[in-house]
Amino acid sequence: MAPKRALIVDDSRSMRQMVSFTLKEAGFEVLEAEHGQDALDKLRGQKLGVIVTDLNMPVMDGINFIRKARGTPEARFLPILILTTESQQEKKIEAKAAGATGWIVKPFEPEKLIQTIQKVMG
Amino acid sequence: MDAQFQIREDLLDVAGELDLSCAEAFRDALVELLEKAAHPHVDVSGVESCDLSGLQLLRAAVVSGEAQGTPVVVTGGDGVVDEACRRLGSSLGELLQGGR
Amino acid sequence: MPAPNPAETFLVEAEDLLTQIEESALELEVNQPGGECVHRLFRAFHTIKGSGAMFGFEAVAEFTHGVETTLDRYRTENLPVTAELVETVLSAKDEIKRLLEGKPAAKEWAIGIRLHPDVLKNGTNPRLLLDELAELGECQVRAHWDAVPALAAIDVHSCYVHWDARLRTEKAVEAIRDVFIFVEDGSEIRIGEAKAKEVAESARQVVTAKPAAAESTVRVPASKLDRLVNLVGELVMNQSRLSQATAGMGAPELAAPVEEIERLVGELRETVLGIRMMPIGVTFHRFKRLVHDLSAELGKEIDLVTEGAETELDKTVLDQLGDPLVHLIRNSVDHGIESGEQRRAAGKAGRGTIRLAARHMGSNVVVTIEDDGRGLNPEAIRGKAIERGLIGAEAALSEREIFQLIFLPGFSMAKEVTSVSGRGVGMDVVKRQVEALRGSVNIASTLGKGTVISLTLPLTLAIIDGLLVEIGGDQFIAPMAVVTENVELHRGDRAKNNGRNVVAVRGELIPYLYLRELFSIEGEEPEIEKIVIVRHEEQRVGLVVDRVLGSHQTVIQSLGTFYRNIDMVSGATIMGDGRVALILNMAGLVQLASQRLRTEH
Repeated sequence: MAPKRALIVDDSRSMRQMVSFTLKEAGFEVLEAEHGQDALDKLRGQKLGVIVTDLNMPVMDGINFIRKARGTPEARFLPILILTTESQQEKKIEAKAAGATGWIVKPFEPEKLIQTIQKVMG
Repeated sequence: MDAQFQIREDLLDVAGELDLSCAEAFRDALVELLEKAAHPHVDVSGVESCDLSGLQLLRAAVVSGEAQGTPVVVTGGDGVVDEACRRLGSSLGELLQGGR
Repeated sequence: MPAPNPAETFLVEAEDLLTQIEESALELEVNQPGGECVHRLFRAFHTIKGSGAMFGFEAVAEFTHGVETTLDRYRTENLPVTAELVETVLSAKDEIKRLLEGKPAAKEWAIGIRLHPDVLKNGTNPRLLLDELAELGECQVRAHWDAVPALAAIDVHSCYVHWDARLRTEKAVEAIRDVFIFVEDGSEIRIGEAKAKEVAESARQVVTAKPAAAESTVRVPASKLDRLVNLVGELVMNQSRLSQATAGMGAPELAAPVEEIERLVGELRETVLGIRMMPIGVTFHRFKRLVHDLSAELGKEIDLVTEGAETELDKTVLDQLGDPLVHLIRNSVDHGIESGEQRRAAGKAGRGTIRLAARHMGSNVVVTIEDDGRGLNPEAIRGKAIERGLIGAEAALSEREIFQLIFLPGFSMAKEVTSVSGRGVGMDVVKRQVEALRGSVNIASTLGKGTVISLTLPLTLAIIDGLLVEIGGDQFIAPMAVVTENVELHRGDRAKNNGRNVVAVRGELIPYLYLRELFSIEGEEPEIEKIVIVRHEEQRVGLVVDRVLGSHQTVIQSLGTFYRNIDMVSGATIMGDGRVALILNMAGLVQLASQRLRTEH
């Protein structure tokens, strides 16, 4: 069984808090990172079950992060979900090409977030 | 437990969690077994979990074994491995029914 | 007797009416006026409409109204029957049946799934997709492995397998599409309505288990089934006698038919026992409400997760499993799962989870109740057991042994009595109830993390494989599953052990019981007796009998309440010659032996 540990990558503190709170309520242990580079540092040596990442972030954006994460032993085969908006349809395709597993469209209900994570994690 | 592969003469003992992260190592172990063994035998009774990649490799080994005239015997698969097959819409019997 | 529920009466009545409708519709002759047949149809639909509206089946009433209007026209004008009318009536009957069962019309879909080879690399687990598909309804999946190449050519992280699925669901096609939403690009997902012919074909080819679902059914009183099981049991016994007799006769012309009878009786037995099997899901369902209500009462937030609802068990086992499960779930809610504050303080999620799961293991079903609560504290249990005088202060016990202590009568861990668990809900009661089902209870726990209790239960109570033994003129049966071996006991050996009832078997001293004495059987024992060694929960005990007669397939007849308190016997069976053989209760006998051993020391 995949460990119930999630890494949230988002530069918005409020968004991180919201996602993190929802996941903790669902029994997850949550790690947070502010951008792609921060996330790459933080996932080193971790046994994670899922990564949820925003796309637009300073220092290293989501697409680059996914590409790099897929090169690490820790995140090579992990489910990685991106947070996206309705207006960013083409970003979904780009993210999938970079190795994303799926997406969650903002704004979302906490329940939808959990459902989507279950969909890719089991 | 991370997957472990141990070859003793004709026997490959597979144990632990057979998933994508160990797929290369599993393939290498199977290749080595098929090169060396006159009667290749894979024992999967120590497998704790198994995903599609693990099952595909078992199948590939059976296909290879048949092609080179040293059929692969798989034992200990009636628990975890069969269950993994069933959850993917198959059964151990179907999986091992070589490339015929 | 409780007052009959009119809605239920209506359902039974409607079922009869629908049968009548089908019969009448098939009687109709095309191109002839319908006559009395159409009148009968009209009346049946009319009754369903009227009563349906009355007892809250508005959809049924509304739908039936249309059919009734059509029939009324044929009736009053005595029109010649058309083929369409017959079809309409028959499909209306099916639709009403579905509406009565509260099910929207389900469609059967044929789904072809060819995933992009790279999906695994992108973190997609195809198994989860299939699981999600199966959650939509009744689903059968078949995997195709032919595209998996040889080792030399394989890309270990690519997906080579493709699947065909049949899904029967009330959900819209969008729900099916949604399953594959993340893998659509580059994958080939074909979804089409299955043709009737293909449906039949696929039903024949099905390989995987389908979830519990209603098919067309016949309702039969349980007593009729019990009678059938008994008859089959007797048939099984007599068949084995027949086989033995013919084997000794050396009549080759009998060998083939006797063998064929053996095969048929075996198949009959499997089929009849299969009829008694029911999915455990119904029982599970009850507990959702229980957990909801109890946790609300205690101000806790608890989710109940169930797995393996489709696992089948003998109806008798299921019926008697409810009580112990209620006990265990109550215990988990009340004592296992902490309050929200305590949980958060311990760094856990505020919501607790109780996982109720069933799965097959050989000829057993294992039901587990797992909570992520505070777990058992071995030190506390130990302290309590010493305080209660159940163990000595110096007793060296493993953690496993310590956990077993909570099953002792009179041991109750609860510090205070709450409205949920109440008083006297001892684990000893649970253990006894499960043992009465010829099952066993196991417990594992990690302090702070949670507790798992597993109940191992036999698939069926109706027939067991037993070892038939004889004492004096009386016959007894020991369940074969617990028998490990037989040894001889010479009269001289008894004296040698200074009257202590222990026998050395391969270096181990095993206590034994004189069944002759326990059951007060008169007469003298033979010079050489047999000790049947049985094992129950890691303990071995010998049972001294006159003779071992051999293995025997046995139908268990439950004993009347009068005998239920006899711990040494769990049931009885009627032998082919009409004699009654008692079935020995291992839990009771082993307990008795260990008590005696303790007092002797």
